[in-house]
Amino acid sequence: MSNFSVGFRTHVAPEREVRVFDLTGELDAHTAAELEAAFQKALADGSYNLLINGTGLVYISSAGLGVFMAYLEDVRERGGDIKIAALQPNVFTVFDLLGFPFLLHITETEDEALERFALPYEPEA
Amino acid sequence: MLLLVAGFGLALALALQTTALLSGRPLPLLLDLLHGLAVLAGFGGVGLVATHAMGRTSEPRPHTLWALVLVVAVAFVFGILLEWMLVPGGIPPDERAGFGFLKNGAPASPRTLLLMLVASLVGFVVALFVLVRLRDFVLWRRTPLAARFWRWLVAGLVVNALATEFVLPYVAEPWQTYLDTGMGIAVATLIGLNVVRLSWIVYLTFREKLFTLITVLALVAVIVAINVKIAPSADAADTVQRTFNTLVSGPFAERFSPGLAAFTKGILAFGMIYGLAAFLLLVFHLPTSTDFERREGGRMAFTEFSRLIGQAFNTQQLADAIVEASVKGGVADRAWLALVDETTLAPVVVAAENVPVEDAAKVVDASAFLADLSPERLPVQLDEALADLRVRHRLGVPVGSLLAVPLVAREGDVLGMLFAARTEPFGFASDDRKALQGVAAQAALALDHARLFKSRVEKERLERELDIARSVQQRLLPQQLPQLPRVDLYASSVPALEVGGDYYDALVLDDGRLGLIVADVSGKGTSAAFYMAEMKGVFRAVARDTASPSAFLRRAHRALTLAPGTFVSALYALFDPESGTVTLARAGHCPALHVHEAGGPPVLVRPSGLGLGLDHGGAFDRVLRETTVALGPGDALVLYTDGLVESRNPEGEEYGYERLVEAASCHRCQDASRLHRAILGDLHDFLRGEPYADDLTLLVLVWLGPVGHNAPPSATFVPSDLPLTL
Repeated sequence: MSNFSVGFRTHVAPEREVRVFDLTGELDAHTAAELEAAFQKALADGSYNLLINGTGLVYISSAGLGVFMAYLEDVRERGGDIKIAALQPNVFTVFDLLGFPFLLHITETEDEALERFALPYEPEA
Repeated sequence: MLLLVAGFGLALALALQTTALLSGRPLPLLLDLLHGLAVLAGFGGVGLVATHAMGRTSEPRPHTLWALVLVVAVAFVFGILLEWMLVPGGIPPDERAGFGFLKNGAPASPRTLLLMLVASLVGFVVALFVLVRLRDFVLWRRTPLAARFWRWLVAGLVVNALATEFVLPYVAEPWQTYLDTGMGIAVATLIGLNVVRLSWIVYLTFREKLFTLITVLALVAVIVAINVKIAPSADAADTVQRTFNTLVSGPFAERFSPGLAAFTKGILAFGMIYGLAAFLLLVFHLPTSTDFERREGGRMAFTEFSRLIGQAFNTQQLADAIVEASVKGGVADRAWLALVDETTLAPVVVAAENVPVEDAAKVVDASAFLADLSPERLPVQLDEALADLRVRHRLGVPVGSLLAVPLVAREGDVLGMLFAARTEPFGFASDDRKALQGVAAQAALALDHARLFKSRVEKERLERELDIARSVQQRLLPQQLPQLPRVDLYASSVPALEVGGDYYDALVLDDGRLGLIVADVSGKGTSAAFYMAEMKGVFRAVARDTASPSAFLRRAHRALTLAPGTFVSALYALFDPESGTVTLARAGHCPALHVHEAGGPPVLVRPSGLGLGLDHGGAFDRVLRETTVALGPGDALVLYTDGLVESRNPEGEEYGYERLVEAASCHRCQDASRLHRAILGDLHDFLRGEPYADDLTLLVLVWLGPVGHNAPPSATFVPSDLPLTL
């Protein structure tokens, strides 16, 4: 039924550890719970630097987008951040239309996002 | 009736013997036959009545066995006493034949007569009792073969008795010996076939076995003691021999009726052999008894568990039953169950037996076990659990060895893990593991059922909710769009299978401008319908008071009370039918499409703006921009929701903006309803029957130009929410 999955990786940089989530498939109202569970587990483990790699993400619905927003504030309060990298063009459009680039870093590559974790988030607009 | 015949038979037999006593001669041939028939009727009747009275059972209890042993012992004592009464001090066996009888075989005194009757009767009744009681044991858990062998034995004993009474005395030697020996071998064979039926012994508990052994030994001791007291010269074996003789094959019973004596002798022989075999088996089974009892207890526990889990649909009840069965089944000293939480996906200990739940949760790292599971989901056995890193042993929970069995649902999902611990290392044998795997498999099935049941209930609830949400959504959409001169407006909203949160509305403001809104609430179902209603309230209340689209959206952003993670994308356009100018602001919504009647291609109008409710800092106001587009006469403004551009064909390809622009370009110069229909038609062709997953809202406005402009005839204004079937 569900063709969505979340893969976990941990990227250890000298100054900080970043939890990388590889999203594959379609993130919609049905599969959003899986991403939510993954985020909760990361928070429970004390990981607040979360990076989404969207290379395999082919579709995202508004419920899927909601997950990011639901956790963004929480993560930032604890000194971490959520960043999104390597989105496919159609998925990026969805983020872009809603104005997500004004709220969090959406970068073209994972490395770029990893570098940005070094800097505190500053709103662009 | 039967008793009457029996009484008559016995009386007749006694009378005939009395005539022999009085005449001092044995009975002549005819009278002897009559005596035989009288004995047959008398004892046959007594036998049938007694057999019936003793009843039968399919499952003999240990006390039946003890009663049997006691009766036999009492009979032995009675036999000894009887002999003692006859000959105080005992007499050599070879001289006993003539005792109490005349040389010709007739009874010598009334006492002889009495003893003949008493010995026959007592021997017969005891033998009958033995036969009837042993039948219950021999035929316990009977098979057709066992029942047949038993019938053959009884028939053999009866035939042997009848032949001994009525045939044997009248046959000449050597045939008499042949017949006698042949019948003896036949009866012995039948006894052999029935003696092996001893399986009931295995099911006696250890205490019952021990008690039986002690009872038998004590009774034998008592008998020997009595015998030694009465006949100091005789040893134990001799006692058995002589008692047997007195009761069965001794002169009294045999002279009275050889057939009856043969019958009694046969049964008692069977009883003795069977008793001896049972005794030996009892001795051999004593050491393994405890193990067997444990197994049996386990089997009962598992049976009870199976029965229970078939009835329970409550996860907690099931969990409790699972850990209880594991411990009561004897495969573990303590057990606990960790189930994977559906939202956090982390294992949570929900039930524990013989250990507090909190301790069980701490003593073993359940998530590590789940993470380390093999692809085949095999159980993990730790013979020395304390050496494993995943086991923390400083909690006072004795975990010497540990068995972790995953609960795998039919679809292959791991529902959780059953942990069984033994206090000592190397505590689990392979059959323990198999038993636990059986419990886990059944448990997984039951939990899966419970889950399915719950999800079905949940689904039905959701469906009811969706029905409500759908009807609410339909009522929230405008039943009729406002009609303005020089404006051709057409709109529709098709709810998807799962109700989304699309909303559109139109309102003529006091200054004559037309306010248009298209919005999409994130999420689905009841909550989406609820936010839609809120959106409508905000629109109806605020639109009239705000001069610009951006002001409206800022007000809406503040007014909406959205749950975290919920947001609304909206586009608000203010259209001036006099000048044809549209001012619009976009809060995260799909861009508007401006379709020129002539000249350039359609243009996507996309001023910047965040979705409503996405951000609670100042970003919304900072980012929001507003833009003005001047429509030319015949130009169209197309507003829509993401259900249009994100609909996917069977190949998973999105309809997308390019196709929308292309379709709008092809069908420009049409009136609003035709352009609307053309765009949906193009989408329909693209989807090739694939249903769209989201609501689809499409609103088309065509400006017919300023007053006096020679425009195409105005289209009729149709109610906008016609259900469209694509």
